[in-house]
Amino acid sequence: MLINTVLLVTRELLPLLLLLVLMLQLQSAQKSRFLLLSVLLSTALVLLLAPWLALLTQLAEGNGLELLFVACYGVSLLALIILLTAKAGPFSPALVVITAQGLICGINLLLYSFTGIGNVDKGDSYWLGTLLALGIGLSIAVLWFHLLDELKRRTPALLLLMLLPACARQTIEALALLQQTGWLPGGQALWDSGVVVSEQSEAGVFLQAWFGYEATPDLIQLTGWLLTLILLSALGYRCYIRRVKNGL
Amino acid sequence: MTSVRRYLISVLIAVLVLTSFLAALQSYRLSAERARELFDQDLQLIAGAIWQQYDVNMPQPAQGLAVQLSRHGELKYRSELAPQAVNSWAQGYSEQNFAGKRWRVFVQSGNNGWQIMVAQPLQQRLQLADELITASIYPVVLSLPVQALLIWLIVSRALSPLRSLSAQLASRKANELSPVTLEQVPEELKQVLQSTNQLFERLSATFAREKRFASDVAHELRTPLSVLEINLHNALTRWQQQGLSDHDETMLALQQGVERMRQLIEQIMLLNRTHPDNFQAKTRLLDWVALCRQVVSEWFSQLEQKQHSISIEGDEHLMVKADDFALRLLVSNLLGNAIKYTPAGGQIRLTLHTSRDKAVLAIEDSGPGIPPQEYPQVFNRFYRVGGDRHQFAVPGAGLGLAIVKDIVSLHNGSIYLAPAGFASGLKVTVELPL
Repeated sequence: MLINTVLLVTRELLPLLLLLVLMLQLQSAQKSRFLLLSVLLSTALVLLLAPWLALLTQLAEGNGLELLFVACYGVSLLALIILLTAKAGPFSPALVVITAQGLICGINLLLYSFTGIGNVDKGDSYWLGTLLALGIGLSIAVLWFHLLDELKRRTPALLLLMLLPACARQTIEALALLQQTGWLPGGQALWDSGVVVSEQSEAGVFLQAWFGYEATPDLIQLTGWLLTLILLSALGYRCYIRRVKNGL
Repeated sequence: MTSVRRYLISVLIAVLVLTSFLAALQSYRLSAERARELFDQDLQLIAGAIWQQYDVNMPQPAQGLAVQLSRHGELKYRSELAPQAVNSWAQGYSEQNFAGKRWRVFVQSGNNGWQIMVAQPLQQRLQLADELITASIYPVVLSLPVQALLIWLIVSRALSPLRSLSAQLASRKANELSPVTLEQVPEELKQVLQSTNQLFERLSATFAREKRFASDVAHELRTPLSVLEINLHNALTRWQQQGLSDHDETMLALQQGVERMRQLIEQIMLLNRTHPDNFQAKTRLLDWVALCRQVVSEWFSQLEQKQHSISIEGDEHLMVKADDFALRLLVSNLLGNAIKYTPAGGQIRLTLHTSRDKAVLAIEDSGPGIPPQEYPQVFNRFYRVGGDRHQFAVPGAGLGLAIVKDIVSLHNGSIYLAPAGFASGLKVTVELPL
C-alpha cells in the first residue's frame, strides 16, 4: 500500500536527513564539500556492500546485517560524542556519522526495493510512495536546516544541545537491534504511548528520527536512552563551560 | 539567512511540498478508511438482500440492494426491494425506475435461460461517492489556511532585515551619520547597505570638515587680530603722546572694526562650541532667576549707558536642569540683543515662570521688533534683519540667535518669537523642560 511505502521510506530517510542537516550546521565552512563527500562516501559504501548483502545477512547465525547496523550506530555515537566535546565542529567525525547513517539507510532501502522485505508493493504506488516520502523528507530537512540556523544565530550552544537527542537515538536503535538478535534480553513494554503518538504516524516517524521515539519502550531501552542523555549532557556541559572559561 | 531569494524559494517550496504531501497522505488515509467502510456496507447489503427470502421477520432496510433471479421469464427469487414482475431490461448497466425510486441496474443473462438483476438506488450511490470524494478533499482544503499562515510567517521572516533597515533609517536623527548595522545582512541588501554606509561616511566627513573649517579659521585669525589690536592701541597711545590729532577719527574706526572682527570670531567659535554635535553639556540644577540677575548685572554698564529700564518678573526661583555656561550664554545673547536694538530710554522685561512641565523665560524689549514674516529666518547663521545695511546701524554678525537656538536644542527646549507687550518690540520666549 502507498501509505506503507511512504512510512517505510520516510523512516529510513528522515534520520539520515536530520543528522545531515545538523552536521552541515556544525560545519563553519566547506558545507558543499562536506555534503558532496558524505553523499559520495555513503553511496560508494552501499554499492560496495550491495553484492555481499546476501552473505552478510547469513553471518552470525543470520544476524550479520543487524550487527553491522549496531556497529554503525556505535561508530555514529562515538563520532557524535567527539563532536559534542570538540572545540569546533570538526569535519571527519561529522563525515563518519553521515557515512554510517547513510550505510544503514542505503542498505535498508536496497532491501525494500529489491527484496520482499518490508512487504512493499512494487507497483505504481511504490514509486508514488517513494516520491511522497522523498518530498516529505527533503522538505522537513530544509525546514530543519533553517530552524537550526535560527537557533545557531540566537544561541550557538543550542546547536550542541541538538546533538544529545541524536546520541540518544543511536543508543536506543542499537539496543533494539541487539534485542532483536537475542544478544540482549527483551523486556516488557513499560508503557504504550502509541495512542498519543503512533509510531506509524507522520509525527511518530519524525520523533523516531529525531530522538529515537519508541511508543513501547522496555527497561533496557529506556535506561540506555536516559543514561546516554544524562551522561552526555554532563560531559557536553563540562566541555562547554571549559571552552567558555578559556574564551574559545 | 544569506540570501532572501534562496531562503524564500527553499522554505516556501519545502512548506508547500510538505503540507501538500501530508494532506495527500491524509486524503489517502481517509479515503481508504471510507472505502473500506463502504465495501463492508455493500457486503452487509448483499447479505441482507439474500437473507430476506429465508427470514420474513427481518425488517426491510431503508437502503439496500434489489436482487431478482428469473429463468425463462419466470421469477425464481426476488429481494424485498426488487420488482415483482420480471422485466426485459437490456443486458449490462442501465438506469431504471421502480418502487418509487431511480435505480442503477445491472442485468446479466446466462445461456441456460437464467437472468440476474441487481439494482442499487441511484441516490444511495451518489451519496456514497460523495462521501468518498469529500473524505479525500477535506485534508486538502484544511491544509490551505495552514499553508497561508506558514507563507505569511516565512515571508515576514525573510523580509525582516529589510524592515530592520528601513526602521533604522526612519528612526535616525538628521545629524546621525554613523553606519547602519544589521544583525543579518542578506546578499540582496549587502550592496544597498554598503552604498548607504558609504554615503553616510562621506556626508559625515563633509559636515565635520565644514564645521572644523569655520572654527579653525576663527581660531587662526584670533592671534593676528590680537597682535593687530595691541599694535593699534600702541599706535594710538604714541599718537596721543606726540600730540597728533585724529580729525577724521580713522584710528577710532579702525579700533571699532577690529573690535567687531574680534566679536565675530568669538561668536563663530561659540557657535561651533555650542552646536549639539560638539557640546558636551554638564547639566545640573540651576536657578534660572538668579542666573538672569547675574547676567543683567554683567550688562549693567550698557543698560546704564542707554538708560534702559529693566525688570525681572515672575517666580522668585525657577530651577532648571541645564548647563551653566550654555544657559548663561543664552540669556546673555538674548539680553544683549534686546539692549542693542532698544533705543535709549527704552524698556526691557524678563519674565520667568513655570508652565506645566516647562520652565519659561520671556525677554521683551521696546525696540523696533522684527516683521513676523522674518521670524523663521532670524535663527539662520549670519542672517540679519534688513541685510548688511542694518537700518539701526547696530554692529553684529547675525550669529547670536543661531547660538541661542543651538543651546535650546541642546536642552531639548523650544524657542518662539512674538511681538512684545510694549507699544513695539520683540518678545523671545524660551521653554526648557523641567
